[in-house]
Parts: sequence; structure tokens; C-alpha cells
Amino acid sequence: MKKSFRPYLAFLLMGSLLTFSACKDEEEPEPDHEHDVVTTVTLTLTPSNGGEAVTATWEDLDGPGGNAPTIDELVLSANTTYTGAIAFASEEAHGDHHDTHDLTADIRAEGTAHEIFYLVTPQNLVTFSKTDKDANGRPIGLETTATTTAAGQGKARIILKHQPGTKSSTSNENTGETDVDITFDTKVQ
Amino acid sequence: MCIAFSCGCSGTDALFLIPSTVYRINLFILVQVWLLLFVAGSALAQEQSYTDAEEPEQDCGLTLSGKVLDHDTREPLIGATIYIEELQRATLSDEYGNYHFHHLCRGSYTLKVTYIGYEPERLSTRMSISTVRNLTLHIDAQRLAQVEITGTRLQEQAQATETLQGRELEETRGLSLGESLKKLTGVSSVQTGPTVSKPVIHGLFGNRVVIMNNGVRHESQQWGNEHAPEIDPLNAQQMRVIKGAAGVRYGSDAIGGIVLVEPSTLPDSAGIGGEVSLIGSTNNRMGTVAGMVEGKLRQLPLSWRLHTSVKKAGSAQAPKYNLDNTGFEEQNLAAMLGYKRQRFGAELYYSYFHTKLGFLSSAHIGNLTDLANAIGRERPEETGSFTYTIARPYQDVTHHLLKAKASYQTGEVGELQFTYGLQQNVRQEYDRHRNTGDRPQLDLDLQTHTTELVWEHKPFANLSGSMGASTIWQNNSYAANTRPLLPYFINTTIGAFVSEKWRKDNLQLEAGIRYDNKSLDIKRWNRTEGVLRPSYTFHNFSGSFGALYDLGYHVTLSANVGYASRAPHSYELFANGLHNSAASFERGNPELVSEDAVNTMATLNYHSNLRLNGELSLYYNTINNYIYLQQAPEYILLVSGAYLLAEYKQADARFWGADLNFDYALTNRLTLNNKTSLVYAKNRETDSYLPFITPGRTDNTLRYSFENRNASRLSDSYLALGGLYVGRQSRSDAQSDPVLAAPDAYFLLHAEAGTQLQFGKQQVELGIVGSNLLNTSYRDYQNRLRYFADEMGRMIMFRIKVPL
Repeated sequence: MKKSFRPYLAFLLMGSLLTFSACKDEEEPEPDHEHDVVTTVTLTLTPSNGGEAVTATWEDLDGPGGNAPTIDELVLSANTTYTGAIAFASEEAHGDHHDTHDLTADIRAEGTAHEIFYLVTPQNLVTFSKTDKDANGRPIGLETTATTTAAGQGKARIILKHQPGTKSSTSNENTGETDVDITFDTKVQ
Repeated sequence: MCIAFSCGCSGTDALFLIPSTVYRINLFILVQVWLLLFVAGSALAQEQSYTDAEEPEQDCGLTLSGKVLDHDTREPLIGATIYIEELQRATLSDEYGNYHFHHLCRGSYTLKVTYIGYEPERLSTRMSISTVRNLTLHIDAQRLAQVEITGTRLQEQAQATETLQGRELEETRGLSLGESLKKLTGVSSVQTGPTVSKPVIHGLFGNRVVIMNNGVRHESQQWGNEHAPEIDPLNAQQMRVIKGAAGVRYGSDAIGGIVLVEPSTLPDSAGIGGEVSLIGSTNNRMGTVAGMVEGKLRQLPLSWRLHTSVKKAGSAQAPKYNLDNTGFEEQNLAAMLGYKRQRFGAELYYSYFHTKLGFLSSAHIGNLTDLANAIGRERPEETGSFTYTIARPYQDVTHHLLKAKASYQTGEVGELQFTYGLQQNVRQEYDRHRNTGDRPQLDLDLQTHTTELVWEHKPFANLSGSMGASTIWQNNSYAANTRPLLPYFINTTIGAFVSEKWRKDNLQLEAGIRYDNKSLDIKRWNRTEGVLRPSYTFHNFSGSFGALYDLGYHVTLSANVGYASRAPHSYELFANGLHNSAASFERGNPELVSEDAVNTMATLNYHSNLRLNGELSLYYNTINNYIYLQQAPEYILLVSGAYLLAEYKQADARFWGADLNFDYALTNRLTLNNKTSLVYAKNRETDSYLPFITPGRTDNTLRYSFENRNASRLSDSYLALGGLYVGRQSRSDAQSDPVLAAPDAYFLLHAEAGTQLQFGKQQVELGIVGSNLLNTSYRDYQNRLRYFADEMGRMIMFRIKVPL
């Protein structure tokens, strides 16, 4: 009986050898960051009659989950027309490392599959109209004209929709997949 | 009599063909209907048996029985074949050498008795009353030297098992592993659209079901409901499912059960052989080519096999629209080399699996508003038209398995086996967001080394069994700049087990115990604190106790109590990310502890009968600290809007249910088969329903086997028609399914036919399988994409197999 256990030992040694020679522990996880996740949205509104540009930023540098985003208030002047531009970026910042991937150009390049919607409540607080067009002549919404009239307070909701194959004359903010859906508290004074 | 018979038949047809009636009948009534049909059928069968008789006015209730014995030693011969030529009926002698034929009429019969290693015997007997006759056989001295005798019992273990093989397995050729296993009673599947299917045993799935692929524990990202097992079912000759907690032999975690996928054994006679299979289907216009070559060398005890299969399918079709982007492709390769000497054997096996599968485009959505919009639509937003092109979103998965096995006969007492397995699983998921380059958004790499050493000892004073030890070492990582859904981790598990069986006369007792020590070292990146390294140690015990009693009269009773525990998976501990098809953000819970289950099961097996054969099992499974994903009442706000928040929780749960599987031979050629399974589950702490539990289902098939004629080119031909009824999951509510209520019950008609063609010396196997023949639009509760689209419509699958 004892003799028959000799191969057992040999096998066991073989097994442990294979197991432990395979162990390696040098790999370290990279900072958690997805390059395609929008972390920063910047809305820039420049008064058409001159004057200083207004910017409002929505920022969530640690991406989905983790810390809550920081959201600016959008403050505009009454009875003014602005030229609007919106930028989307994927940023990462940790320690002394800071890296920004601008996604605006990608969205413009894929204009036939994207559209940005501006929904303001109350409706007459700010009026956004899209001034840029995709290859099919449909609006994209990266460039806009924003017009204010009377002073007031409300919210501006900005939605970036991914509408591959579904962007059409009838598509709206309920069509397709939502890439960005953010809201700025808005004040017109 | 003939009229009575056709009545029974049309009764069955009525049940199949009028689904609207069936919809309204609840499952219990349905079962009762079958029971009634049964009683009617057995009365019928009594009548029917008269037709077999030569003189119908005579008594046909005679029994011929006795023992098959070795002429010289008077030892009983187990598994000898006794064949009555006049009736074309055969039986096998049982483990005590006993055989019996029931329902014989008076008359003369010729018995042919055969047994490996013995000279066949032919003798006549005249029956006027029930007779006991012992049959003796002489050793065939010339043959004995070369023949290896293997015997199997009808039931090997007390725990309920189901096997998919032979014709039933052939009928699933072309389907995925998860879809194939649905043929078994008590097994269903969790689906994500038409392309992803995971096996569910008694309501449990994912990490709770251990899959053994050719003797190696399959290790991949099985925590994900949309991650199908990376195994080519075309390479399997047999798939076995052990139901209920079964952790002793194959390691902890197996709370739900075990799936054993086994390729056929290597050839043991010299020469080269092979086969080619072609499979094609309508609906998604799938085409599959599979080829196999195998052989054994003349000079060396070395055998080999190569198996490959290539599959390609376009988008599936629901009855009313195209399921956009649901095409898939798959490439498989397996190579096997075996060496066998008298005492020593070795085996080397390598398999490669690669799949690229499309995801229903309209199911990949953004936030809650998108989800509400999607649910509100009659049909998916994008239906497109049929195409083989796979666009984003899609998965690309590669799995390699390398196995080395050695076995050594330890004298007369047993056999020692050592198995080493190396697996690499690379899972890449491509989302539908802006495609910045060709990079995947999720890119996980899991490497696993497994070793196992088992010593199986031969029966020693009624006791047989095995003992062994095993290790698992596993490393998970993800590519840079992809979604950190699952952290880096290293899992080291060491376990040991003993399992013994004691058998005497009609009773078999079995018991086993196992201990596993699992350590989990996690590395995850945190924005404020850098790399965090939480680590865990889990101690998991498994145990089982079972009894099997052969009551005689073709009845076997068995009962089993199994205990298994499962350590939480790293995903359940540290999940952190979006699930795009559920508009939910899933978050792990680092405080989770092991869940453990006590599963009690009782099985009654009625076998080797002329008309009715079947099995009924009842089970009751108590799971403490059951880990589940619970939708939180609050939302989470991301850049793309509001999402549901789902967090891992633990609660004590209870699963119970029944499986019924029987065959009833209405005539010698026509058989009715019923497979019914019921699963119930409850959260014992809150007394509420658990989500995602299999609804009750019953599948009834009527099969007609044609007689084999000597002159005909066709043999083993059959035709079958059946219906599957799946009830509505009524045990669900707004708490278990907050997004959308459970869908309605459904009924699907299916049909199968097959034959073997003989062209001179060349044999060809042909088969055709039709599913959802009425092209019914339905949604399944366990399909995660039920929010978005209907299931596949009618599909007809053709297959040709040519042995070379």
C-alpha cells in the first residue's frame, strides 16, 4: 500500500510546481478611466454685440459612480442674442496626471448619427436655435444661437442623442440612445 | 379497439393544436389532463397488447423470468441480453442476473441470449403459464482474452441527474450549449436576445452552476447574465446535468448543480475514421460545418482526434420584424491525443473557441427615459433588415483550454488521476457609443490554472469511492482605458474531498465531504486613495449524504441531502458600472459573505417497463445569505442622465419544486414523452418573491418510430410532434420586477424527424427540427431583452451527418 502512494507524491509535486510557477503579481491596475465616457460638458455663449463670453461647465472627472458631478449655474443677460458653442470632453485628473480627449470633433464627424437638443423650462426663458448642419442637411446642435428676452429663472436641459440610422426629419429627443443628459440651473438677469 | 386508439391520439393532438385553450388552463390542470390521458392510455394499452398475441382470445398476462448464469461457476451474469425473436423484444439482466418479460401470451418463443465473452445461446420455450427459467452460458475462451467488460447500472447515484445524448443530442446540433440543455427536465435558460443563453438548473444559474468541460472546471466571466458558456456543444458526445447542491466532487460554488460536457472517448482500435456534419437553418439563415478525424496508431498505443466547427448566422427574425444586429459567428477547434498502456495512461487536449455575437441594437439604450421609451414602443426602434453583418454593440470572446491528464493504476486497488488545466478567457465588449477607433469598451482577461489529483479506489468490502485534492489559481485583469466593471483579482483556491459509496443487496448509501479554502486578493484603483488592495479568505465546506434503494418491481427510490457553499464573486463584491441593456448602474457590496445551501431531494424512478417509464423528483433547497441584485429605490445621476441603481444584497431564500419526466408507449411504435418542471422561490426574510425565477413549463411530444425493414435504404426513421407550454411567472410583482411585469404564458409547437440512409456502404444521417412552428409572437420572462423585442419566430433546422 505504501508503495502505491509514491506516484501520488510525484503527482502532487508536479501539480504544485505548475501552479506556483504560474503565479505572477506584478500587474497593477491602471487608473480607472474610460476614454469614451463624457466627463466634461462646456457651454460657451458669446454675446453677438460684443462683451464677455459666458461659460457653464458640467464636470464629473471620476466618471460614472464615485463622486457627484460639479455643475455651474448658467447666468445670462436679458434681451441679448448669444452665439453658442458646446464642447464635450473625456478628462482624467489624478495626482499630477491630467489628460483630455476632446470628443466634439468626433460628434461633428459623425453628425448624421448625433443631435443635441436644448430643452428650456420655462420655454421662453432662453431660445436656442441650431445653426450647424450634418452631411444630410439636418441640424447637429454643436453651434447655436441663444436669445433671451425678459429676466427670469429656470433650467436648461441639454441632451446629446446617438441616433445611428434613426436620425431623420421626424426624430426628436426621444429617438435613439442618450449619451449626455444634463441640466444647468439658469438665470436671466 | 382501433377507434378507441385513434380517439386517444386525436385527444393529444387537440391539446397541441388549440393553444388558445391551453393558454387558459393552468399548469396543474394541464398535468391532470395528462394523468387522465394516461389512465385512458393505459386502458388502451391493455387492449393494444392483445394485437401482439398470436391467439387473441388467450390470456396475455404471462411472465417469463429467471437468472442468467455462468454455466460453470453459477455466477450471475450482469447485463446479458435476452431477446425474444418472435416479439422482437429484448431485455437486460439486472445486477443480480435476473431478467423478466411481462405481458406475454401463450405460445412458443425463441430466446436468444448474448453476453460479451460468452457463446451466444439460442433456445425455445413453450409458455402456457408464467414460467421461471434460468439461462446458462458457456465462456467463449477465444474471445475472452481481448474483451474488456464494462457494466453500468441504471442509476449510479442518489442525486437526480439527466443526460443528453444520442438522438436527443443530435436534435440539438446547431444550437448553443444553453439552448441544447433546455431539452432536459428541470433545466431552462437565461437569455439575452436570441444569441446568448445560459443554463439554469432548478432556478439557479451563473456562478451557482459549475460547468465541467472535458473534466476541467470551465472558468470564464460567468457572473454576467449575458455571458454564455464558451463551449462548442458539437464536440460533445454527452452532456450530463447533476441537479441540486453538488459541491463535493467538483469544488464549492455548485449550489445549483453541475453540467458535465464530455467529448467521446478516443478510438481504441487501430485505423482512421471521421465524420462531416452540415447544419443549416431558416430564420437566421445559420450555416454550420463541422468535421472530425480520429485514429489510432498501429505500432504505438497512441490515439488522436481533431474536431473543428465553423458557424455563421445572420440576424434572427421575430414573427413581425427583424431583430436588428443579432447575427453571430463562431469558430472552434479541438485536438486530443491519448496514450494508453496497461497501467499508465495520458491525455493531452487543446480547444479553441472564438465567437463574435451581435447584440440587439435597440436594447443598448441610455438612461431611464430611453428605457421608458423603449418599453413603450410596440416594436424595437431599429428593426433594419436581414444581414450577416455584425455591428456595434457586439461581444468578441476567445477561450483557450489546454488540458493534460495522467492516470496510473495503483496495483489492484484503484487508479490515480492527475489533471492540469490552463484556460485563458478574453472577453471584449464593443458598445454603441461614438466609436473612437476600434477599441472595445470592456476588455477582460481571465487566466486560470487548475490542478486536480484524484485516487479512485476499487470496491473493498462493499465500499467504493474516491478522494482527492484540487487547486485553482486565477488572475483577472482589464485592458488600460476600458471600463473597470470588474477589478483586478487573484483567486487561489485549495480544496480536498473524500466521497464513498457503500453498496449491499438493494441498498446503496453514499456520503462525501469537502473543504475549500479560497483567498481573493483584489486590486482596484480609487481616485482619491490610489490602488486599494482588499483581500478576503473564505472557508467553504460541502457535504452530501444519499441513499438509493432498489425496491424491486422496477422501482428505485433515492434521496439525497447536499450541502454546498459559494464564496461571493469579485463582481458581486466590487461591481461598479453601467449595464446598458437594463438602464441600471450595478454596484457591488464588499461586505458579502459566502452563501450556503442545503438541498434535499427525493426521486422515484420507474424503469425497464413495457409501457410506462419515468422519473419524478421533488426538491427543497434552503439557501442562506443568497446573493442577489436588488433595484434600489433611488436613482443615480450620470452625465447621460438618470439610471436605476442596483446593488448586491443578501437574504435567506428558499427554492422548491418538482421535475417529472416520463415516456408512455401507446403502441410499440408510438411513444408519448412528457417533461414537466416547476420551480418556486421566495425570500424568506421579507416573504417576497425573487426576481428571474423560471416559470413552470411542460413539454409533451408524440414520437412515431418506423419499423426497420431489411430491404429498405432507410433505418431508424422517426417523426415527432410536440408542444411546449410555459406558464406566466405569476410569482412576481412590482418589487421583484419594477421595470416591467412578467410576460404572458406561451405555447410553442415543435416537430422533429430523422432517418439513416444507406448508399451502398456509405451511411448518411439526416435530421430536421422545426421550432415555433406556428410563428407565435411571445416574450420569455428569463430573457433579459424582453423589455425590447419579441422572441425568434419559426425556425427549421436541417442537418446531415456523414461518417467517413
